Amino acid sequence: MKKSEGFNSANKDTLLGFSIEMAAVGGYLILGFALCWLMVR
Amino acid sequence: MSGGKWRSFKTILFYTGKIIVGIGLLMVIPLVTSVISREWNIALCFVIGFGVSTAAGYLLQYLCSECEPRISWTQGMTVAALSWLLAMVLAAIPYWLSGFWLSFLDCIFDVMSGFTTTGLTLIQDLDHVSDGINMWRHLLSYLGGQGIIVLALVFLTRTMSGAFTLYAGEAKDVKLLPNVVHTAKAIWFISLVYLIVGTAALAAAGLSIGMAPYRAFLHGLWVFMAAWSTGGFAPMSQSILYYHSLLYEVITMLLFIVGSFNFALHYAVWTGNRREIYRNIELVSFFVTSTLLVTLATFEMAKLQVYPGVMALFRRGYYQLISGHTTTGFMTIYARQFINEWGSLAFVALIAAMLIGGSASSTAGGFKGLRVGIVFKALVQDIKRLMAPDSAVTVEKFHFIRTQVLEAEYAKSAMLIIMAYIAMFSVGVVANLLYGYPLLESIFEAASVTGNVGLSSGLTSAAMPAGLKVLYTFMMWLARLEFMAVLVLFGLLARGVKRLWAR
Repeated sequence: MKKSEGFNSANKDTLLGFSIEMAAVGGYLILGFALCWLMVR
Repeated sequence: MSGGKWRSFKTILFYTGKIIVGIGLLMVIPLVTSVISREWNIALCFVIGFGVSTAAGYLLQYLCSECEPRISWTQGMTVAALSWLLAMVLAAIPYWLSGFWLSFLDCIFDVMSGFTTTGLTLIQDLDHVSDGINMWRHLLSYLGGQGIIVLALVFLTRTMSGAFTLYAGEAKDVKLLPNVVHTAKAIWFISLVYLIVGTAALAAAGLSIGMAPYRAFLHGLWVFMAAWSTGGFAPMSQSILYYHSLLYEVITMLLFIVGSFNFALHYAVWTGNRREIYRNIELVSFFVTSTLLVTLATFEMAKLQVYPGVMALFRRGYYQLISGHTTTGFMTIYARQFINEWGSLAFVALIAAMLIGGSASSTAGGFKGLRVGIVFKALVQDIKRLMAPDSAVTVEKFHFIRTQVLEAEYAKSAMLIIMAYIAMFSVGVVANLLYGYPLLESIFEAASVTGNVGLSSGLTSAAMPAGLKVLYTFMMWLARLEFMAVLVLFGLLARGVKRLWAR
């Protein structure tokens, strides 16, 4: 599937895109937790 | 009215009729939920709502069938604003018939709160509300986030010639793909993938804390819809605090942060442009402002020892900050605690977070990270210009899907919208004060309404004055459509009245 065609069904890119978004937000939450830990210390 | 203008008016009503039919058809989902849950009286409310909405929609289309084949930009903007108003009244019919609200005004307030993904509610006895009504509340929020106009584009519009103008009128002006129908489908594809994954994860979390399977599934679905649409409605009056589950809180945070992302960003990342996730000006802006505000707030809360340990600070303080910044409005503390327990700095940080909000072309409200980023870049450009020799040309760039040169027009537009939001926030504060509410509550609630957030200090309730309910409803509408579509509607109405007066 060409990128310009968008996506009509799940493929490797969409699955990877979903994983990247979840990993990025997960990482962001871990940073947030670390910040809270730093403040409480 | 001349023939051409009459035809133009008919065109607006014809497309509005299509959207109203869509609202009627959507009532089938809560109707089915009511039947499955054996709530026969509530099912009847939805049958009546369905009948009225579809009849009104088809009648409008029948009466205005001789319309123009294409719709203009102005017509599109007017359809967007007008259909929101009519949909608000029609979607409130099942609410009113159900008896869970004290007045029709309260029903309209809640529908607007759902459509605009705000999350403030005037419902009575939320903990015992029927499944059908809860499904309708959350569905409105979910669909409001995705855009009722986009929904209409995918399922209802016969000719696509004027489709993009309708779509742009709903404050989602990023064209992801050349064809607007493909754009709408791309948005729905992303949303449906998250719907399946998010609901499954939340249902599993519900089962892990001992909820019955059917209830865990329904709560999972509803909370997902509220999180992804950054709406903030919850099936229980204690919001997310009700579940007392770290897993539930982490999953909702993941969902509402992702939900506050720009759809163009989702599309870019999901089609292989993975670098966009750390280059996009909106995400950089969100990261910087949220980190700064979280640092300030958690510093204050740690200093005042508001929460006993790191976990409590994360699950209460941090959660509320991010819930406010993404304009979701889920709560893990009681309403009065914002005013009574949080220190002044944490309170101010939360107000700022609510006003800034999430990304443009997303489900989030506020004046958006994109505009904050652009104004910051414009400021940097001006400083560079002042420091450079007179003959030097300074060019500032920003990355939003592609690298673009910052033009003066962008900064001007961003500033105008930010000023409009701040002006509306000020009006909200003054109105609250005029009704005799204390300053802090007034500021908090006005920020929550302006940013379409839904966090509450306790001011919003069925007992609040009717004038304030009307004002809040109008503010939510104005903020969600980012002023322009509503102002165009009022401009057209004013012009029509002026012409009639001149005769």
